[in-house]
Amino acid sequence: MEPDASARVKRGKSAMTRSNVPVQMLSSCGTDGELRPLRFRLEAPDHTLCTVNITELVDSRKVEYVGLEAFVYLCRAELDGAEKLFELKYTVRTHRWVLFREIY
Amino acid sequence: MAEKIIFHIDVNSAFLSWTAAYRVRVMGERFDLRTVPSVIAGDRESRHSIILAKSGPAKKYGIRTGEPLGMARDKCPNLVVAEPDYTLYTTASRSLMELLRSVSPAVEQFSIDEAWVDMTGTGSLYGPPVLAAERLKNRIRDELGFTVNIGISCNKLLAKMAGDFEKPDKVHTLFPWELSRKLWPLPAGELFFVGRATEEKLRRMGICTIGQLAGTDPVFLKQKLGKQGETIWQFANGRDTGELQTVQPANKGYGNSYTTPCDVTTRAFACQVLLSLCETVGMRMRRDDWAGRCLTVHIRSNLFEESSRQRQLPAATNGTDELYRAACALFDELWDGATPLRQLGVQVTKLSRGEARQCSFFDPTDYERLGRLDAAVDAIRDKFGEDALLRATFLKSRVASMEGGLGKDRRTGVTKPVEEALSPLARIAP
Repeated sequence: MEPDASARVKRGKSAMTRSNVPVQMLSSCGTDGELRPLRFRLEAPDHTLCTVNITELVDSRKVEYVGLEAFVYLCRAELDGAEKLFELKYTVRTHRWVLFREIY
Repeated sequence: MAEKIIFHIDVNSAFLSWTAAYRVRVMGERFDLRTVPSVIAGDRESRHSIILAKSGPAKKYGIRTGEPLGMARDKCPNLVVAEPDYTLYTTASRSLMELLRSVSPAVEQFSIDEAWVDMTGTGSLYGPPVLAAERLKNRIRDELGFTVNIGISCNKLLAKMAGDFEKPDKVHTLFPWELSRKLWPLPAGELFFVGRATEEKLRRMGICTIGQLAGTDPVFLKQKLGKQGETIWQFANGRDTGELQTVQPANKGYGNSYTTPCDVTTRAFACQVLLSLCETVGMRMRRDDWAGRCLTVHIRSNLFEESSRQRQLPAATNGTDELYRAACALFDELWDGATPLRQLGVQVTKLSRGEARQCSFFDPTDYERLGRLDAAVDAIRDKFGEDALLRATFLKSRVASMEGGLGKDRRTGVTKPVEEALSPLARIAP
């Protein structure tokens, strides 16, 4: 792997450890209204952007904490050969996606 | 008929729980306000900063809801203070009521965070009441992220009393056969409807606990306390005939008050506040299509002395101008012109709808014209916001053109059912 790419992955990793980070999202919307996150981009602590491709959607559920309707997606992705498991959250009212937390 | 089963659901320190749940469950914070001494209190700068809700640990410091923030800080120097978020509270309240309505069709919302649910005859659906309550409580905790207390009994009063027992996140029962064990040993002040003043009166009669109150002769209580004496005696004995009101009764009156940022010492300033309050009250009445015949003005001095005066108006009205003139006249009779005032209030009662106005030879005012003006002002404010149009007197004034009630961000239905308060249109429709 070229050094540039590994640096990018490193940045991606450090970006992922924070929680509740707003992300740019590419997602698909099925005919039945099902929303599926595909790929997202977020800002690393050094203010560069890194893109993450979702390899597997493990689980999704609807939450309604304090009455705020949101969908939580448990996703897998690969960063620098290491597998990552994390939760993405889509808030219906604000139409915003966040990287809610990294599990490992 | 099956035995009546009423649940009383009460959110544990609602505003604090909701803010804490939002921060933890939605914003992903690790730090939970509920685990440290913390309070929800309004803007620190203005004088009306009081404790709106407190956490369990804050309660241990003796902090009480309703006391000034400064006093609470004296009791607990490292108190965490969070600002209220009324939009969030409305959302949370609405989601709770929705969840309750999914459990039973008969839900009476008592306040933003309290409700009664009639669970009579749901035994085969949800199981015995205590288990059903446990499940409901856990469902609210898991789905909505905050904890509630559920009181179970056969009437509204006892269910509410049961809900106030040990907190948080608990289910309690208080059936008539448990009265002597669970309710009667409590101090009389804990009883619903017994406030500080009544508690003091009862204490002077030698009545300290609810049990003693229940054992007192009701005739004697009625003599001493009037109608309320009889009511609280019935309550102390666990009797409450009140049915669940699933539809909110209509307003009996419209009133607003305003605590000024600095004491009122001049008539001009007071009149400005009154005008601003009349604008608010008038607009609310016009929106609901009510007019009122009786006007009350109340004032509170800087030493917290209250006084009020009321007067019958010549005709039922909801016009800002007419209310304002009557309010000023009442105010002049009420105020000595010297005592600094911290709060003024205007209230209109004896409501009626669609009454014809008796014209008077002695009053040349064209009320129809004023009515059209009010309607135009309301329409503009509805469309472009309350600040779109204001009287010149409020330019560069310390008073906003429409004071009273909740601040703009807070006008979310604390005093009205949430649904209704959110959509003004719903109230215009019959």
